[in-house]
Parts: sequence; C-alpha cells; structure tokens
Amino acid sequence: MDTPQQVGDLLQEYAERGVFRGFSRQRETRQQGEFRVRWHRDQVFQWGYDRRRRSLRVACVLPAVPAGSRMYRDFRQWLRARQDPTLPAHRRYDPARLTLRAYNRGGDVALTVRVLDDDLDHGVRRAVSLVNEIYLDFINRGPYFDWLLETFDLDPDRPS
Amino acid sequence: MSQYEETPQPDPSKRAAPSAEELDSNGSARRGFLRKSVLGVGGAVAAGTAGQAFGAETCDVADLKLPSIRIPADFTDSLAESAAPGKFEGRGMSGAEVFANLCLKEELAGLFCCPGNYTVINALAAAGIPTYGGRTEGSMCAMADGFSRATGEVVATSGTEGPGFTNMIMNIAAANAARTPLLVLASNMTIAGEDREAFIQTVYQQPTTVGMRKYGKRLIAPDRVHEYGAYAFRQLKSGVPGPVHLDFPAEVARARFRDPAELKDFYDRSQYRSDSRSYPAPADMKKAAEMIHKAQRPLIVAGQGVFQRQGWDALHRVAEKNEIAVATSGPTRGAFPDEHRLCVMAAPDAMMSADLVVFVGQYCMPSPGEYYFNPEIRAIRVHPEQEDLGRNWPLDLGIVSDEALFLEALADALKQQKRAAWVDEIAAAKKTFQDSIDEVYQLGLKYSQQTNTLHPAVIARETQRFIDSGTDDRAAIVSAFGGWTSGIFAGRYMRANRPAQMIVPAYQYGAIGPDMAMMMGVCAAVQRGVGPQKGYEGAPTICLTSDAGVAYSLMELDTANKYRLPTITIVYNNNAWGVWPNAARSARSMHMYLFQENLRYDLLARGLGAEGDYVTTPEAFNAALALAYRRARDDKQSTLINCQAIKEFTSPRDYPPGISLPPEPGVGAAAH
Repeated sequence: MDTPQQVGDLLQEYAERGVFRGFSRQRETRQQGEFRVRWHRDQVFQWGYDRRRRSLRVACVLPAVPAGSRMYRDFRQWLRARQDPTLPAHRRYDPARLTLRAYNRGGDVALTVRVLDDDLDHGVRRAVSLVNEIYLDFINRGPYFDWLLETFDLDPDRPS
Repeated sequence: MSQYEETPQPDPSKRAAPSAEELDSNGSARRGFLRKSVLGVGGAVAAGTAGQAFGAETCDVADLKLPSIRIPADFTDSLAESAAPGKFEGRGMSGAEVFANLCLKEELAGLFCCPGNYTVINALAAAGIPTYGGRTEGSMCAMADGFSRATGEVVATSGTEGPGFTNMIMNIAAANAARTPLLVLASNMTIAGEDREAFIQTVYQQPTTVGMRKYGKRLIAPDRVHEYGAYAFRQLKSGVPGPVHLDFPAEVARARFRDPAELKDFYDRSQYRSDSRSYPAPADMKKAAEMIHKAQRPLIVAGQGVFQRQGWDALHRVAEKNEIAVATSGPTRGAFPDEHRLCVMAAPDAMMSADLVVFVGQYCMPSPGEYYFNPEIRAIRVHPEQEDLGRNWPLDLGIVSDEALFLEALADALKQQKRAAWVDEIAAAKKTFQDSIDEVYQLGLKYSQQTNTLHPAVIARETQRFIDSGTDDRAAIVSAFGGWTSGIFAGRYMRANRPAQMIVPAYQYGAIGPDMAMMMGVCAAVQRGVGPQKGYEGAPTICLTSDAGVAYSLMELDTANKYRLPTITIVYNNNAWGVWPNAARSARSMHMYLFQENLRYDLLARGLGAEGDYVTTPEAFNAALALAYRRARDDKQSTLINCQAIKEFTSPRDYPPGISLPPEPGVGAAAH
C-alpha cells in the first residue's frame, strides 16, 4: 500500500500519540494527499504526498532563510550529513531508501523526502523524524539564536 | 546603626587590578585592607564552639588609619550560646515556641532570615535550629532554597510582615518551580488590627503566594498553632515537595501556654503524618520490565524525585544491570555521575536515538519537542501522585510509585542485559559533544586574546578544569551556573559526579539573581555536612554567575563572611544584561540594557569583608581561582572573581557561535 490515505493514517498516529499538537487531513485523492500538522514552534506545517513520485513534501519547513544565506548553505550541508554512512542505522536516512532534497522559494525552505523502496511506512516515519531533528538539532546546533527569536517573534526569556 | 556601617571606606579606584603574578605570589600581601579571623565562624556554627578573637583593630589605607572590618564579638558569642527550647513550666511557652519545638522535632534543617517576625525567629534560634541572619529577605530565601536543593531537607526562611515578606517573593516562586520543601514564615500584624491599616506594614500575605506554594495558612487561632505546624510539615514531607507559607499574627506568636491541654491536637508527628510511600503495582512493574527488555536503546530520565527520595543507589543498580542510559533533570544535579559510561547528559546525539524513556520523579514535566528525543520514543512515567500522570507528555505506561521504591523494584525485576551497540553509541555521542565544546573553547581563547577580556566558554571550561585538577578533592566542590550568557555557556562545560554536586539556580523559573545567595545556602549545607554533603565539610562552593545576576545577591557576602561560608563567586562581567541584543532592533532602547562598563564588583566584595579579584586574561583567571580556593580552604574566606568581558560575545555575528540553548535533558538544562 502506498496511498495518500496510508500517509494520512501514519501522520494521524503521531497526533494521537501527542507528538503533534494538532493535525487535520485536508485533501486525499488516489494520487495526492494534503495534511496540516501543528508542531514545532507552534507552526502549522503543510505536508503533501504525491503517490506518482512517491514523494513527501513539507512546503515550508524553515521560514525566512534566504537562498544565498550561510544558514541555507549550512542546512543543505546538515541535510547531506543525515545520510552519512558513519551514522547508526536508526539515525541514518539511508540514501538507498530515501532521497532528501531542500528547495528555497523566496526564503521558504521546502523539504522533500522521496521514498525509493516499497516501504512507505518507513519513509513517512523518517520524514517526521527529519523535521523533528531540524528543529531540535540543526537550529540549536548552529548560530541561529537570533534568527529563532526574529523569525518566530519569541521572547528571549522564553525561546522554546 | 553600628560603627562599621559608618566606617569610611578607602577609594576603590586606587586599587589596581591584580596581575597573574601578583595573584600567584602571595595573596595575603594584598589583604591589608581587611583582617580576618583564622578560624571560621562556620566551624563555630557546626561545633557550637565559642567565637574567635579577631585581627588588627585598624588598617592603613592611603595614609588613613581606618577601623578594620571585623565580626563583632556579640555575633560569635551569640553563636556559642546553648539551645534553650521553650517549656510549659514557669512562664510557659509562647505560640512561637510551641511552633519552634515542633520544627525541632521535625528536624527542620535551618532558618535563613532577616530580622522581623521576631518572636518566631528568636524561638527557632533558641530551640537549637541552625539559624543564619542576613541582609535581604529575598537573598536569605534563596539561601534557604539553596540549602534544601543541596540536601533535600526542609529549610525555613523568614521575614517581617509586609516589606520583608514581599522582598522574598521572587525566590519563593523560584523555590516553587524547583519543588523545594521550603517553609516560608512571616509575621503579620495582629488579628485585632485586621483591616484597620494600623501603624505600618499591613498586607494580606496569603493571596500573594497563591500560585507559588503548595500550602499556605494565616494562623488565627492561637490554640491551633501546633495543629497548623503539623499541617505544614505534612505538606512539606509528603508527596511532591513545595513551599509552605505560614503567617503569624502577634496573637498567635505571643500567646502563652502553660499546659499541653491548652493546645488543640497537640500530639506527635507519628500521628499527624505518615512516612508510608506508594509501591508500584506488580502488573505495572511487569509491563515496565517488558517494555525495557524489548527496547534497544532505553533511557531513564531521573528527575528531582530521585534526588528527593535518595534513589541514586537504586538508579545506579538499574542502569548497570540492564545497560540503560541515564539523564538527570531538576534543580539538583549529580544523582547519576556525568562521567559514567551510561550517562547521556553530555551526549545529546545518543538521547535522540533512545527508543524508550522512563521518567522517574520528573516533577516539572516538559512537552514533546522540548526534550531532545525522536518522535518514535515510547514513554513510561513514574510519579508519586496519580493525577500528574499524562500531564504534558503522553504516556505508554503510567506508574504511581515512590521513586526510590520503584527503582529498587525495577532493579529486582530486570534481567541482566548487555547492550553493546547502545553503550558504544553513547561513547561516540559523548566524544562528538566534547569535540564540539572543545572547538568553542578554542574559539573563546582566540576571542579572549583578541579582546583582552574573558570569553564565557573559557571561564566555564577553566572553572571545571580547576575543580577537576586544582582542588584537593574534586568531588567536594559543589558548583552552580547562572546568568544568561554565562549560564548558557557554563552549563555545557560544568559537571556533576555525585549527588547534589551541582545546583541549577535558574531551574524552571529562570530568575537571574538568586544564584550567588543560593550557593551561600549550599555552602552552609556543605560546611555542616548535611545529607549528601556529608564528608565534604570545609569545602568551598563555586558559583559562576553574571554581572546582572550578582546585583541581587552581592550584599550577602557580608553574611557569607560573618558565618565563614567559603564561597567562590565568578562574575561574568559583560557590562550589560545578557539579553541586550533585544535592543538591537530598537535604538532608543539600548540604554535600558547597559550598565557602566568595567564595574568593579571585586572591590564591592572587599568592602563587604570578602576578597575580590579583577581579571581579564585566562592566565589571571586561573591564578585567581587557585588563590580563591586557597583562601576558602585555609581561611574560610569568600572571594568574588570579576571576569571582564564584552557584551558582544553573545552575538553570533560578531563572535560565532554566540549563544544557543543547550539540548534538554542534559548538561546545561535549566527549563525542565
């Protein structure tokens, strides 16, 4: 099975487990699905699934990151490092099973995860994991504290 | 007003900053300004011995003969007085004495106060409870909190009716966030004068602490003073701890009782509260053991409850038996050693790999996304109160249990299990983290050289290096980190390797300010060897804090010095509130975030009878730290080391990487 409904069911499971703070199924056809996920930084992420391409897409996984910025370069490098063969298997985004791509449109960074094998369940779970790591690891590991405050209009005394 | 308060002080600007050479050669040569006793008053507190004679009567400064700062004989004489608890015989007992005797039986570990609430604090002192008097109620409240964080014991703080009580508010709230069993006492005028605004200081206290306490009561019936004391200790010593606030109108504190029959519910603690603890249900234990055995990379987050219930030995047994990773959380660190092979406090990458988390005694509960976990992680939570299970963090299994009893039961229930791959991954993650902070330290060294000031990473790493290799016993030093920029850096470098070896002053409430005073309370606990501090008597404490923070507590150096509490306070002085970048987008705001530059907190410390050093280089800092340690160890002398920095170290643009919040749980965690 590789239907948009299956993707929706998997994402809904995260909402039911309390990982997401909110979830809704926007549109599901035979070929495409669209979902809304309220999660990190209280953002609503638009998730899409294209059955023909076997591709999951988060329309704006990081806002306000200009294409020519150091942060965007760092992000792409960080993304590549997620597929490094030295990572433990449970942490690695196996390039034989998944393709990870970032796109920048006017500062909005979109993320796509293309599933290369038959295991859509694995692909969806890894995509969820990847978004989680972007917010817990990438942003906190780099010099992005000021970006965090400005982008999400946070009080520095309460930046999480 | 004492003569010492009127003593003219020398011009601080005429004192040069010490060089590394000066600090190394002979610290005492520069100490002519002050004359100190050789033996500590702290020793007198602990041993009940008489106070000591003090040094020279005067000192020469810039051709002026000035009276030396000294501890008055009345002070040391007072500490040497024998306890005299109230009795029904003769004049009878006051309400305050009835309450004080109850506190004594409940083994109240100490009282930190300012004068005010006289009847009660005098009764507590007379009863034989160790007492400390200081300069501001807020700081004394922080000291009490610190004492409790370092020991797990119930400690009291007190202030006078309105102003003294309200001065304590920030630190009552900090204690509440940390779940400290803090007994807040305050006098409160008279019942007869209620609503009349008679004379001064009238305020309704109890509504003020709603939201920052576990229990509170204005005592209005004199013959129920013992009963409400029992209420207080039942709350302080049962379940999840938290502050208890009692206010004493004069009619209660000064009532006289000549016969036990005059008091209601005047019976022993064995009858007004129970030490019974909840034991985990067998079915829950079976399921928990199954989940742990099934997991490949299990992790225990040992929270404040593990410390409070002294479950650290059982925690160790569980972790070793089944090779379970451990992180600790809460305002008190070290229940599991940071350097243990299974500890992931300095291994965030390993935390992200965990597939099962067992929260034990995590009183302040994060939400998913606040901890550095992956979305697949399953969760068990163990908590003494059922109604908290499932709050914030969705659970796969909730278990009602006392934390220590759960860990003991788990140690029995688990099979021996090796998890070589998990252990290897933890080791690799530790190395990755260490490499990353070493890299920042190297950058900090470079920036320090460029600016001739001290980068916070350098201060933090050198402080921990000194604790590890420059002290007589690295396990003896209790440390803490606070301040915004300084705290964020320090947390990554500083370590705790035995229970209560580190305090997190900013834990959850995020108050910038109580750090220094809180560590004086910790130091009192260490000097007396209370609880997990037993065996480390005499050791100094080290507090790394900021120039913003130190302003709230600095006057208490007088208190530390007179009680001979050997504290070392390292001040990261960046001339600004650490949050100054918030003014960057509002040019007319910047002035509100800035201090005068190059302020001499070290000279203020000297003026208060402590020592102070001003440093700008890593070499001078290391020398100052070594000297401060010797002063503390040998003379029970407190030192403030003023580390000059620049505010721009906060900025990732000017001095990358700037600041970023450390992953939680882990070293540096302050939120949960």
